Amino acid sequence: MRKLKLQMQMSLDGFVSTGPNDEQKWVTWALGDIYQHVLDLLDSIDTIIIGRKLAIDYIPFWQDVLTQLDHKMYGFAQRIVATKKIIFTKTLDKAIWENTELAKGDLVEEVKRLKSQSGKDIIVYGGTSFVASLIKEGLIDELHFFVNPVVLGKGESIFSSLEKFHNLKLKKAVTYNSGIVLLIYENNQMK
Amino acid sequence: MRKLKLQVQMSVDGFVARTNGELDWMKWDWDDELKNYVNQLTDSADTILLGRKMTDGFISYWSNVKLESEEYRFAKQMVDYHKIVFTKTLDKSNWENTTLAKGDITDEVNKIKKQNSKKDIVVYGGAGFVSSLIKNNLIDEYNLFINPTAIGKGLEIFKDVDSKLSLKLKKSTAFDCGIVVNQYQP
Repeated sequence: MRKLKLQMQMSLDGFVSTGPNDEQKWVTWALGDIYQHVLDLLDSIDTIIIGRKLAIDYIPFWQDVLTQLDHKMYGFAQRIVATKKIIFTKTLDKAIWENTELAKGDLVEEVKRLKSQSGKDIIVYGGTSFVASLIKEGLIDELHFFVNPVVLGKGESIFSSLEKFHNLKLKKAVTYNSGIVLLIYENNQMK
Repeated sequence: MRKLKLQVQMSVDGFVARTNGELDWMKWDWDDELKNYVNQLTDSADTILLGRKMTDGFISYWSNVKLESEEYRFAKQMVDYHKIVFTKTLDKSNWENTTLAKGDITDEVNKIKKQNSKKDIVVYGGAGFVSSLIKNNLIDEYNLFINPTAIGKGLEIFKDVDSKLSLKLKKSTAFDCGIVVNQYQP
């Protein structure tokens, strides 16, 4: 069965967002440091799943980067736009973007169905509430956090809906010159 | 001036204890490398700051560790080191090697930092006391022991920070038992 992987930016106090209008200005955008890992992860997947709320900003954003040949994220944007994306939604009726499909059924069933298909792994980048639902249901197999050297104090957590504590297995930790620490965990408590 | 060092166990999602202070989520099977790391940190200090609420539990726990215990080396340091309890309510200390600090937290901590000693000061908790130290920018070195566990909700130490606070990563060390220690400076 293929794995569902999570990649997210995190503050050192465990938040992934300052709130609904977060523009991630708190993130240390040290691309030289983290870009290789981001690309390696992309090489391991062929499907992106995404919550509807994030999709409506995220997909047009990367399509727009593709119109700017000199953009430093051009290569990444090409990959994102070309990769199959599945938008989880109860409200959208059809996918209006390239290489996108909708998943409108029960979250657990839809994700399990995707995992049982053959192919490379699956990745999710957000948003917060979509990822929180995936975590609550025990659907994420590998978590990749870029821990930024910054305290937010308050914000949104992807673990806030856990009913009890949840053990993970540290797979690897990488320290970057920018002060970012990459923490990779495996989730062995699959439902 | 000597430094104030924080050593604290933290979950992946940034909590230092569950809602009622429970520490049952922490990893206890530390590997030797991690034990060495803690020994070095402890050896670099000669003074411990304590919030009043955790003092009773802290002192009675470490005083009762037996000679044959693996924890004895650390326990003896906890008992022998000079402890300063921050309190507004207590009038005198009934604990050994312990004095009270009753004034303004910033004044008291700066006074202790200026004391003549080659060794530093360490603080382990509790959550409320450490929050006050952080809010008042009194911590000189953060040693965050990131346990491989998410706990969802609980006690925080950074919640009183008013705006985004950037720290400098000094080093990060991953240990075989699954704990990663991230060391930051202001």
